[in-house]
Amino acid sequence: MSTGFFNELWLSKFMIFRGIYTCLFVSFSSIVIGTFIGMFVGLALTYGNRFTRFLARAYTDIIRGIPVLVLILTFYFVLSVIGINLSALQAGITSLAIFCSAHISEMLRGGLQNVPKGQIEAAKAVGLSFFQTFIFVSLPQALRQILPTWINTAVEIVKGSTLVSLIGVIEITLVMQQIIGRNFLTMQFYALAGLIYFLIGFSIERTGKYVEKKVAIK
Amino acid sequence: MTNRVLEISNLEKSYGDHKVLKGVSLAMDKGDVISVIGSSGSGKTTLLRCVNLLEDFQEGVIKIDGKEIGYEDVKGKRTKVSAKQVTKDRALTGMVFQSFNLFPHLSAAENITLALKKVQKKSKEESAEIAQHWLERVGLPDRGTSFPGQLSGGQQQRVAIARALAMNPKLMLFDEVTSALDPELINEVLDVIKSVAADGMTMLIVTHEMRFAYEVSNQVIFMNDGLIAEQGTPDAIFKNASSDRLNAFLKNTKF
Amino acid sequence: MGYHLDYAVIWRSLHDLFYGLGLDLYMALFSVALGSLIGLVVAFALVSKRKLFRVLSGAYVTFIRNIPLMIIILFIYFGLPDAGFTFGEIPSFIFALTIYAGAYIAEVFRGGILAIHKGVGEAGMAIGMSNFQIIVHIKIPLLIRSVMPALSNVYISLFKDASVAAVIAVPELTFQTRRINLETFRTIEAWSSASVLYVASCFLIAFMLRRVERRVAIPK
Repeated sequence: MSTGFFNELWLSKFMIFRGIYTCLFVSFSSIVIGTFIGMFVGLALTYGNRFTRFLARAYTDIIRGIPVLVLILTFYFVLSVIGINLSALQAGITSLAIFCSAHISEMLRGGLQNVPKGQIEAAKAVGLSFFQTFIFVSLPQALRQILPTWINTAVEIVKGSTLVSLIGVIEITLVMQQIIGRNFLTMQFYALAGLIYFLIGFSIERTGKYVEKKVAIK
Repeated sequence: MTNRVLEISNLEKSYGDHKVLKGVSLAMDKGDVISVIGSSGSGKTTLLRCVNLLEDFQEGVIKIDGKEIGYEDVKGKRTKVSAKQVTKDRALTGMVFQSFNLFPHLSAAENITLALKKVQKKSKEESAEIAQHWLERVGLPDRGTSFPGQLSGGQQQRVAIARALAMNPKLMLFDEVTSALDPELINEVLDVIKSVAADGMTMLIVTHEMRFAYEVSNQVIFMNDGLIAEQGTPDAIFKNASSDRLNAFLKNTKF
Repeated sequence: MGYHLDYAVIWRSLHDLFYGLGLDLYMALFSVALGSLIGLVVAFALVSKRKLFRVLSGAYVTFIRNIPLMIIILFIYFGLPDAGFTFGEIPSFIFALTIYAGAYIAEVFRGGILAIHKGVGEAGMAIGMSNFQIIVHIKIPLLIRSVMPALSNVYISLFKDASVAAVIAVPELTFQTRRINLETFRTIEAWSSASVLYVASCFLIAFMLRRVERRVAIPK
């Protein structure tokens, strides 16, 4: 790469840092909110009565059938029309969080249902209540089991956050486009964007693997 | 001498520092049935896998029909033969595994015909005929279209035996073929092996079924710690065991 | 609020929406087919005995899986022309989605290969099959059957990812929807219709893939 690139890189360092910060902020908020919502939907999906199960299933399947980009654009455009005014940032986080929640709920259901029936019966046999069985037997195992998938989802959310650039959130992708608009070093700065995302995703993956090992049942 | 099917001399095999076979020598003539007994870790399965070239070995020579397999002498250096030759050498022996290892996506008949068609380049019709013959031979004439998942363990193992026999091997190797079976399914498999032995097939059998070993073999080998500790007729081994180790082993196994 | 739902506009643009959907399917199908081939080869490299193969394939999978599809497509469509490689919008996108798909599909296949019982390969060896024959006649057929469910999920996901082509103005469904929204201001109608089309397509694809799964499933 030419010296021009490093010059330009130096000039735009603060922009890039802000972009990274926004990307991380959007991703982190979406994952936290999404996990929170997803837990409830997942519980409804697993333990709910017919009606709540149906609702949770419909929510999960519909959201999972819509591309993230469409979710983002829908929330951004539609909410303002029906009188809910969200900033681009808020709309972006909301849509990513909803996307995340649908994946979490499905994941949690899978994890909970994979806990062997015999264990649940054993827990009942020693007199644990439904709630106690859930907290002490099912959930700890389900959480361990969904951890790898949860990590994958987190990486997907970070990657999905590029799409909020399309509604004007100034995260890494949009920052790069702004920089490229100024200096036309297209390849270099998109490659840089790729590298930054890779480093973020890779760190999440590694941390996830580490945690997985720590909490693994030996 | 032309009758010698298998000749193993001074076979040594180690995994890293751990020596599993410490110099095993063994000869088998046509029609011999030799059972190999011994506790787990004594090297009996490894011995079988070496003969089928599923394992490399560091020292010694294995000859089938007088020809060395797996290794050759290249300018005085012991060299592994080409992958192609390994494949050819392997085809001289038929192996039946503890865990059946049928191909789950193929029907019983297809399990047998696959190698007939692909390795022996036989026609579809001929392969199908051979498969049917061997399925009948193992008592499963009407299960050719069944898939492994639809068969009992005993039936699967019989298909696996038919698959190996269909390749027309010089020597059959059985590696604890009943260990993964439910007790009530063991006999149907052992009966098939006995009837194949009665036909004059040369067989090397690793087994935990002492009564079966007693009945089927003309020689029994007791392996201990990577060596052949005792070898003799079934009567000599089971009725007149001399060494303490063999006695200790037999005491702990049911007959 | 003075908003009245009026789907008449959507009716009139239905042709555009379906055209867009068709384009999504076309691009996804193309990439899935190519990506599956790449994925299969890469998966065998991932479990290869040769370190070089493992390192190269591992780098490809780890790298691509951590880079957003949008960055890949921007790089290919806007960046590569600087290096003298210019592709049209649709080929660019198919290129990007194929590379992307290959990494995900490779992971699925890798899992499948590792799940194949070692003994099945040994049984193939024992009846005299060569390594190549074992891969072609035993491992690949077994693999495709066992990973089909996981593969279905990846395929559906890749179909949804085709929406990202809107970024480089490929006139697929999301792009069409955005255009209709901006031209007619029928925001709710436009986006709800797009969502319905996407969800329905996903269900349909899932349904068809499920049938394939059942057809190729190993009989039990």
